Amino acid sequence: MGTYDPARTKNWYILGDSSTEGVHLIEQDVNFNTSMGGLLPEQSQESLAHFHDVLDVACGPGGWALEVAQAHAHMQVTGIDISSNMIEYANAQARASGLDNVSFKIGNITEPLDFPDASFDLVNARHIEEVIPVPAFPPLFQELSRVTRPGGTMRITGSEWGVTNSFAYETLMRHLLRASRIAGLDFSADGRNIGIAPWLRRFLRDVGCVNIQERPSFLDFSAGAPQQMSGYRDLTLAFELMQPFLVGVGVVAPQEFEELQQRLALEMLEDNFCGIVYTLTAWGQKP
Amino acid sequence: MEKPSSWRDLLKSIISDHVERERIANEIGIRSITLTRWVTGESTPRAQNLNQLLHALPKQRRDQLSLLLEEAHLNSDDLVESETSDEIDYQFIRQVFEARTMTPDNLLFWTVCRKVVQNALRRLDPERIGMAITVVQCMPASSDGKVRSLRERMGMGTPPWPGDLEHKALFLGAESLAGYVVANCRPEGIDDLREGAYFLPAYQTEYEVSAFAYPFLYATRVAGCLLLSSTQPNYFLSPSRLSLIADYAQLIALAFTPDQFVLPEHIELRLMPTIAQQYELFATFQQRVKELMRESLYAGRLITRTEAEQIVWQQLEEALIRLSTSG
Repeated sequence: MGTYDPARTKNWYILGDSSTEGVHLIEQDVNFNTSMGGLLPEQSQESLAHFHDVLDVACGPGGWALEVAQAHAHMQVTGIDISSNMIEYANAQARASGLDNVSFKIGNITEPLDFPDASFDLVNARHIEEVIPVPAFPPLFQELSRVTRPGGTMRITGSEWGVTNSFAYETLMRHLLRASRIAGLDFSADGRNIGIAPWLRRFLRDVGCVNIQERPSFLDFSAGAPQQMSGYRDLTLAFELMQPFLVGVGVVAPQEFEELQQRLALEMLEDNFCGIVYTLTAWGQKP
Repeated sequence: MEKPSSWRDLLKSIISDHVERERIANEIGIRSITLTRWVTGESTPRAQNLNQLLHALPKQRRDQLSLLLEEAHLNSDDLVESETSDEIDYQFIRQVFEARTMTPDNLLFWTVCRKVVQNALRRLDPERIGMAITVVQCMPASSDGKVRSLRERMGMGTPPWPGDLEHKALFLGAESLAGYVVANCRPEGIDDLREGAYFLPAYQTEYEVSAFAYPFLYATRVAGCLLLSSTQPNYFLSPSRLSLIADYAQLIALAFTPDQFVLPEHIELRLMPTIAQQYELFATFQQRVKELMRESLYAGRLITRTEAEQIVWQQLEEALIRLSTSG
């Protein structure tokens, strides 16, 4: 599975950017769309009608952008991502769909964006806390604001990765948080959570957005919940793909990781298993 | 007859024939109401749809429509450049080859199947009028060396089917279209399951109106088949669609290891019990898997969830065959 090495791969994908991760991210998108209540559930019909040019940053294999283009033929959706593997994946999906209102290109969101000022009516960023280091956020939001048209919307979604009654899940999550801290990917004061949620409003406010609103949602993958099995597959696979990151950063030994993974697969199937991932979406308008 | 003044007028006259309207919609993979919306201007076809529309028409109509589209500046370079309708994008094929090369054993089947089926669903049902695609695999041979049933390993769908069909997976036997296709190592389809007058073994599942299955072959051996269901009748008549299905099946065959392909003479499928009977038995699946994993954990010889599942599926196959023969 390789090792976690951002200097070599030129990206911060903690799960790598393999074909498996491409497939996994597409399925994870579907899970989040379900738990969030849709692609843009918080936006009114009137707002949707005004979105013509849409940018999705760190779009991965393009799951969200493709679905938006499919659902809203009047929108022209552009997705950018640092990984050429993900962009190739997204473009292949777009060509297969015959969609002519979506395109994808390689773009590094820790650098100035390759778009003119005021290019988009809606700029979307989902779960970027997993793919760029914390210091890159303020300049990124300056860039997102620059490419958003006056009156346009900036939208950001982030997640806190779950509270469960599984010992293995909580232990693996603790290792993940430690590794994220070492890699500069966490926002929290003490490393006990990802810590992205309270920052979302601030990011928007700091670049001058107005009418900022927030909408929480949660993904329940407890035993018996409708999303139990999709959540089970998503998370067990995510931890499997995370192994090079966790072992590479040095927070867990390979054998301990394997045992925890085994235990996780079992504990998440227990009848009394409870687990929830919290998600927050914040959006605001550029004056 | 008055000469049509626009491409929409021409299309209006073409689809005034109800049978022709259904045929064209089916060929393109859209609902017939969509053609009506194009005529009324309520919506405009995407470049690929226009290309497919042109291909679906007889030559004279095609030339006429082509001219009118040019006049409307719709016959753009995009149209000329759009890929022909019976080929998979080569870039995508390369991605599948790369996935096969770079993905570790334990994730290979999952990755290749899902990657290809995701793409196939988008390609074969671009307007989402309703399709399910399932990867069906031969169960391991029993002690006498014969394969007695097939199992739906994974599946994905567009509405009205759920996106993920894994939880609706069934065992299939000699009573099924998939069983017939695997036993005979050749593709077959049923144009309208509602009519009940087809000569192949099959039963209609929820939402399914037409079905097609294509075997996974390697060195004259078979590993299973790609099973497609549509909400529309006659959906699997179009040669270009069938050509795409054949190619997608070839790509999915790459997810199997050579030892998973079996000689046709080793396929001796039994009849499988009804869906309701199967689901009743499957209710114990998670519990059995969990118990097996727990036992292995306490015994200090770790088995993966995939290994545990495979053991339980084989136990369930045995139980289903007993149930079928006793009933």
